[in-house]
Amino acid sequence: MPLADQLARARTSSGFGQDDLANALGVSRAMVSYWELGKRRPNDRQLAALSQLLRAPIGVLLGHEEAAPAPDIASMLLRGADQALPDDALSGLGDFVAFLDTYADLAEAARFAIRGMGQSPFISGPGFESADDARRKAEEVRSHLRFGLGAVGDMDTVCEMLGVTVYRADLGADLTRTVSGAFLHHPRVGFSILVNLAMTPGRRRFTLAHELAHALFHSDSRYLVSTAAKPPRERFADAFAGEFLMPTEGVRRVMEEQGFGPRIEEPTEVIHLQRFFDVSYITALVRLRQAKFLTQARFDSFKVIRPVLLARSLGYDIGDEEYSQHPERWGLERFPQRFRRLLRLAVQKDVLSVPSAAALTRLSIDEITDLVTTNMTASPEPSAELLELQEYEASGVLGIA
Amino acid sequence: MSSESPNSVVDTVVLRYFLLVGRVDLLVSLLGAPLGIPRIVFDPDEGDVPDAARSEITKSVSYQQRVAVDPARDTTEQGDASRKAAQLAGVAEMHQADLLVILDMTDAELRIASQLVSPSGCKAFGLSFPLGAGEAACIAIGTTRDLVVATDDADALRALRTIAPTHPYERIRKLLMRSAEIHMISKVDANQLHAEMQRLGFWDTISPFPKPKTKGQA
Repeated sequence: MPLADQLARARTSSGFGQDDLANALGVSRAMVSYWELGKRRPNDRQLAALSQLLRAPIGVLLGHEEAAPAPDIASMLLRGADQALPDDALSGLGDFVAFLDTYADLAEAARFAIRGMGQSPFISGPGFESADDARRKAEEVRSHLRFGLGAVGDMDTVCEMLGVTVYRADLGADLTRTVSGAFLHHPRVGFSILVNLAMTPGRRRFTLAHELAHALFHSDSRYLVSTAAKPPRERFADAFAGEFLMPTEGVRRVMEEQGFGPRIEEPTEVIHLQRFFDVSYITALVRLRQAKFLTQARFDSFKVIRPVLLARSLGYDIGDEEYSQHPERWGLERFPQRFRRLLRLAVQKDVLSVPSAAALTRLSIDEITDLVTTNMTASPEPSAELLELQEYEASGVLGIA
Repeated sequence: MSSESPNSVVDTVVLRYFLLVGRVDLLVSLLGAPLGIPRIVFDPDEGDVPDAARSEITKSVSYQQRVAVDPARDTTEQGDASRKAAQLAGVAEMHQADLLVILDMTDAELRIASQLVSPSGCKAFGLSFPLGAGEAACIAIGTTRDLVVATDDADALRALRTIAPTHPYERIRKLLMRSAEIHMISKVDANQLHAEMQRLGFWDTISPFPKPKTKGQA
């Protein structure tokens, strides 16, 4: 089959529209159309980019080789979705599955233990899918992790502690149509979570907790895709995530300590609680309403304020990503921490060359070089960290057992 | 644009390190002008495209430019990245000065390159993982057009030996040694350039020339 036909077929099967592909490559839609009609031919650079974007080997695009028959886990994932998904979501789901396969191959070659969770340590059974069940399960997991009633720290670290792999991809910003996250029990990596990068930091965190609920309590399903629709398991995962990140008793305690309440009266109080528990403003509002710390009237009036502006006026640090999301700026950070360690190790042990590592991750040679060679030793000039250490040393606190 | 035929085809890693230390003149003198560069390594016609569609050198430039303004990096890192971005961007001046010529692959070359970047196809060349696209293009073009291959990727060299065991190739250390042997630079300079490349991430740990023994050493 000629290149033109192969391109059209690969584009359609990987979920790209002509517009999307044109945008991803920085060419016009007409150019993509010319390629597919055989009137023009992509150059070598564009062909390499097409191969990566469409996840089709160059040989397949050129008609030199047959597409390898592989288990189509990506399609299985898509059947798990209960509505038609946009092209960027289809592409991101495909990336997720391809990444997990690569991770497993590389770990095997480098003799690196992924330590992925393949069986949940928590018991769940059919029929336990109410919001109350979810909240009890969240308490159980928090207790297992010794979190007490406080805020949960870095969710990536929590997942890594549990042996759950977390990967991020741009799945599109229209959350009424696209996927916020997905769970897959990968045969070689174990429980794996995908998070949509095109969401606010608070929403990404909630999605991670939501997918963690699927991993820990719904792993009898090999794959689950979370969209705006809410069947019982999705409602369970939402309730779990809310309680896990912002436990009712923990909220009550912080409110007492801060002198709020018994009911929340001001949006500034919501902001303080939101920032303390590191959730989105809307999640905080919903949790406070669910726990009846907020009346319906206050909920209705608070939901229309601009939380980032209010938080800034209260002196909170606001990250760039709270204003707008830039999925394209994510490089190595898209990948799980454990995979990054594997990549570094594989290059240092000559299992993988720097250019090959760049090709596998679709990153620049410079970014891989930085990962592999960054000198973590402090520079001789006084740094803030060294000054802090000197203060500790001067206080004599290091000698106290 | 150069109309001359190149004697060599150079991959991203070799070009990158000579650009970063500001000594592409050595590369050009030793390999002869113009240097052959696959379009995947550098494409002067690519314009302002998304990262996914960039050539390998401009992808590196783009990454360094982002680091240079990243508020999460300290000023030393930002300054280093800014310098690297400027040095790497020098590839465009080389092209304008006819010091390099961009090479597009023929169908036969694309067939070889596509095997080298394929997870299954690369196994036939003794590789566990596919080559980067730039390295694969270099091997395909070099072996087909009988050009000297300049690469420092051990996997690319393994593939080259499988395709054409006696095909001529150049590595960075060898190039630095030759530069000193023909008195373009001193041996001390060669070692210093190598050390500077190492500081910038180059993985080769052996200096071009033995370090002079200091007093007290046997």
